[in-house]
Amino acid sequence: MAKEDQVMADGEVQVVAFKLRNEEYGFSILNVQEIKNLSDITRVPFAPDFIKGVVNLRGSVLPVIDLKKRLGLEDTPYTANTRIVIVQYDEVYVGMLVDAVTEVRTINADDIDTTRAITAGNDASSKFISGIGKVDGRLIIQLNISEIMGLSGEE
Amino acid sequence: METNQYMEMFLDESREHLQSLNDGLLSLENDPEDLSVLNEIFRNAHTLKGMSATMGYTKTAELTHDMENLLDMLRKEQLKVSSEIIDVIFKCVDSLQEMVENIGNGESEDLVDVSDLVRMVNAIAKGESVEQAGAGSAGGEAAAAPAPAAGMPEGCELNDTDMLVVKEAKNSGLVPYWVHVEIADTCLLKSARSYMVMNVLDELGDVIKSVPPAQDLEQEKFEHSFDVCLVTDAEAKRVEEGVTAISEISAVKVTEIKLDGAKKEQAPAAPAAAKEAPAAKAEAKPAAAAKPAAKPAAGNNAKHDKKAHVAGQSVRVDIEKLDTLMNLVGELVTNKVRLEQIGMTHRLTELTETLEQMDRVTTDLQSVVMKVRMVPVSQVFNRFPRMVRDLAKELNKDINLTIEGEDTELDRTVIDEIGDPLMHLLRNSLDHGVEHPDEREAKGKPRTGEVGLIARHEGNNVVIMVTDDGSGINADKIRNKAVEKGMISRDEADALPDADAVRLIFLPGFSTAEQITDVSGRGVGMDVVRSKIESLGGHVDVETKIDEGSVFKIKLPLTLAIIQAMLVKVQDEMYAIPLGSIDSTINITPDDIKTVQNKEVIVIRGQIIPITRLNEVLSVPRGSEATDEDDIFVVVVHVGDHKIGIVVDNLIGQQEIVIKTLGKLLSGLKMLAGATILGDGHVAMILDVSALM
Repeated sequence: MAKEDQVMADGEVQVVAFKLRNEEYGFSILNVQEIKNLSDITRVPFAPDFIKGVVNLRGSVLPVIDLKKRLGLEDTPYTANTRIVIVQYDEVYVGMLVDAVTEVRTINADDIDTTRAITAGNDASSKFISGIGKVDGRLIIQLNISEIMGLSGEE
Repeated sequence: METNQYMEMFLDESREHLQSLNDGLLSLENDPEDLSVLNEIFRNAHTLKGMSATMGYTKTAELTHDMENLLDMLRKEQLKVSSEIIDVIFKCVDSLQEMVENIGNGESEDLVDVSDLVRMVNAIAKGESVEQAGAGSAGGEAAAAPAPAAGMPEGCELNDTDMLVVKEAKNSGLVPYWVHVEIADTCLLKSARSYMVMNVLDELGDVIKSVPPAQDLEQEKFEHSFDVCLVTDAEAKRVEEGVTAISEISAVKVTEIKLDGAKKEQAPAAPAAAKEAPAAKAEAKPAAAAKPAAKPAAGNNAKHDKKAHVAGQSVRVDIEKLDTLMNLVGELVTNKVRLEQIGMTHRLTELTETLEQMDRVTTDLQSVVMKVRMVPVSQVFNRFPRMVRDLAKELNKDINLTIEGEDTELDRTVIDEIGDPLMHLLRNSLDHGVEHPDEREAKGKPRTGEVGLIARHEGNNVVIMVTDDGSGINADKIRNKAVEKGMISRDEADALPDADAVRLIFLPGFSTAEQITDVSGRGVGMDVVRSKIESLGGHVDVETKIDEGSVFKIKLPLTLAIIQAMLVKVQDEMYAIPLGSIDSTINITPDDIKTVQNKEVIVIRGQIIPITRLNEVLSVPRGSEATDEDDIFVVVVHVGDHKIGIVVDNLIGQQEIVIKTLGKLLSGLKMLAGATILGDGHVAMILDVSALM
């Protein structure tokens, strides 16, 4: 569930960290509504290819984005750890298909590298990345939700 | 005064009252003699006045007040109902409507200038009444009320008990009088004045009763006049003087009540004092029939007849709350189905039995919630009589509008949307359809054109028809126009059968009116109507016969939220096809499929129907089960007169489904009308049949 009561201290960011293949990614916890076990996803004909389909979220129809496809990563089969992270941005709710949710991390703002230099070689997906956080020697790639949802035009 | 919280209520109720005013005036215009309608109108105006005064909208209250005066005079037959007067009152209602809307928009009511209107209303009230009085009095310069047919003084209402008292008094040498008192318009404390009048009368003799009852007088529940029945040994003159002496009393009329069997003759009234007293044909109402006239002693039981009209109890609910309720019920049903499945898998008979019980409850719940969202079409229809009337006047045409089936119910969301299309169709019928009276006469038709607005159920749909007996639509004219505008070629046009040619009017950018009038024919008409209706999942069609008239037929789904659908299976995927567009389902073999110009068709009852394979159109991935190639299911659907066969792998069955939107992210996808959640919790797509054509 969304933990809105966890107010962040200055200079710190809380992220919900999850895995896509063997890389670790994160959404700001403020955007995460809940995490759901994988349920049957209904394919939507004519939908953009990165949209896996729709699921039933307690009576409403929720689109699910195949995050690996969106980021240009190679597909892997579902596992017992596969989850749907339901994020909310600008009143729009979307499920994000991820390989596994690892933990909720607090990252010091100083440890987040927002330069695009790292991903410069991979232009197509660089716009989806808002920064890279370093914690305990691990890298957590911060994702830009509005770009991923395709709400900021162009799609 | 903190009135904000009442604002919504005030606005809603004002609109309602204005609507009933409109309705009432219309029926009054048709039947000017109908007093019950007049009373109804008066009550509406009165309530409106009270409400706006309470809310502090003095201008609204003032205008209503003047209007009410006029209505009161009509009601008391001091004025004759004429179309001029009705026009003026209509104008008042319009201005009031504007004021109320302004208030609703947070603007000032003062934006509407009503001074002219007020002057006009007052002029009519004065001018006409003088004329009436002049005609009514037999020689007297002022208003000596003419002897009423049944012999009672004006407004005299005495029931049997009162009569007994009066008789007794008469036998003991006292004289019964009917005293009509008018209080000046400017009077602020009417109750105080009425109290003083009562005091004076009490001193002179015994007050037997008053109309309205004493209790209402005290609470100022009366207009500017009231009546008292008095028995006294004093002369009429003294009674009159006594009352006139009280300030702010504008007129007093004292009439003796004579009891000669059933006939009572008019006592000479005091003409001097009654110079302003409106003369009227007194109307002998059966005692205590119109108003439950209570004696002052029984004042507690006295009720204004206004209160006798208690409407069915209701609450206003925000439509969003209903939507939420609907969603919750849907979820409940879905969860119930899950429980059922658990009961089946684990063979828990006890659970299954309980769930059967629960099934009944949820089904009822669902249907109740659906019904709550339904509103009678009268909500849209009732604004049309007024519009038709105004328009007919403007166009100098005689139109009789017939409305049928106004209690047919439709989903709230549909109701909100069909107003404009219907208005457009009606305007078209009036403007282009119905001819001028002279022209009609020349054609051998009655001068009055008939326009009908008919709603009725037709299966799972509601059909609304706009009919007229006008000139009909000339198919050739339409053909020429379409060719002229380059919409189709001459050959194409000539090849079109008449019925199809007429349908060209629904194409964008088509206007047939030879000259553009204020009313309709701006060329944006019919295609807008069609797209609106189709966006509601409906369909519009036209039938016409030259010189006999046209029928515009709108077919609408009962509700936008829940529809009946056929569930079909394509490979592993489930789709829902709205039942409304399904013609039939058939089972064929591959041999039945023929090709015409490389397109697959089938022949059903002599009709050639193109088919489309859903798995190809929707690029459905191959499923796990092998499909039976020799057994093909075809769902024949139609949009208008176009038919198409949809090839599916399996028919699952008919089911009521709740339509859910796909949301912002997936909006505007072709061929999909939305999604629905099936009983097992799975999501299925709903096909937009018209996109398959």
